[in-house]
Amino acid sequence: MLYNRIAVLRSERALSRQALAREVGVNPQTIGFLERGDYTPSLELAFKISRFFKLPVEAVFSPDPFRPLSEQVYEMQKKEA
Amino acid sequence: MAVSRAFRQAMKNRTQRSRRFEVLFFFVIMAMGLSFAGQPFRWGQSAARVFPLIYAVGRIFRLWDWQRTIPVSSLDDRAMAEYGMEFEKLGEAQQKEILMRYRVGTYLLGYYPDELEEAWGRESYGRAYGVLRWLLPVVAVGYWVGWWVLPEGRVRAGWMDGPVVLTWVLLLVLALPQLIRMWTEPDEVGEPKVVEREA
Repeated sequence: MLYNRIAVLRSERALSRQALAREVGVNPQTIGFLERGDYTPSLELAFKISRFFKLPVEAVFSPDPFRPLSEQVYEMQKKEA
Repeated sequence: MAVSRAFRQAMKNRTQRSRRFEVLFFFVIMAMGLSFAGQPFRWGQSAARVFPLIYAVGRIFRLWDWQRTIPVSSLDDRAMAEYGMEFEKLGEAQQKEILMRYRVGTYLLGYYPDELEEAWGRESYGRAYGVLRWLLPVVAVGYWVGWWVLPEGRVRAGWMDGPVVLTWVLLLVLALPQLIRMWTEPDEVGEPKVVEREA
């Protein structure tokens, strides 16, 4: 199983499934199944999605569950300070 | 109102529960077809004999069709599906073209064969092969055992009705990948409300 942050990234950008699906060349349903973890994308699709969000692939997909983004950002800020 | 009811029905037809019901119904019809095996052919009964066969073949094609269709509930949905943008944002010619062809609220369009479709297709074929690898030898052994042990009578005659049994096996082999897919595929998930409002 591959975890992903697609739903969060999409929500941050106010992006519909349809719009993302169109950009990466899949059905909107496929984005839904990806977000729910019902489908593990091909390497090609994972790179397309990451490239669309302008993020490294490991920031969007991970074999381990993601920690909340807010928590990560807070820790980074704490380290910088 | 009729439009939204039709759309809701189309979505309902795609739920896992209704798909599983269709799979079970398929086997009920197949069993009905088998029940006619071994009976002497009479023209008066030919419709009852042929109906399950026609139904089963029809189901197989409909399952393929189901796999390739997507419900479209509004002009915007249709514009999105065909041109990738909302109806209002289309040019006049494109809007006219859609309006000319948009008759019913729910419209089934060709389903885009993306990598998910292909992956699930491959998976269902693999699973079907796994099932058939043990099921077909069981059927073959059962056939021989039946031939050996069943006493003379209607049951034996049915068991030995080669054309009917062969047709049943053929239909099962053809339909099994689609049936497995219909049984296992999860329900589609709706767009989260917060994104719907913001998008």
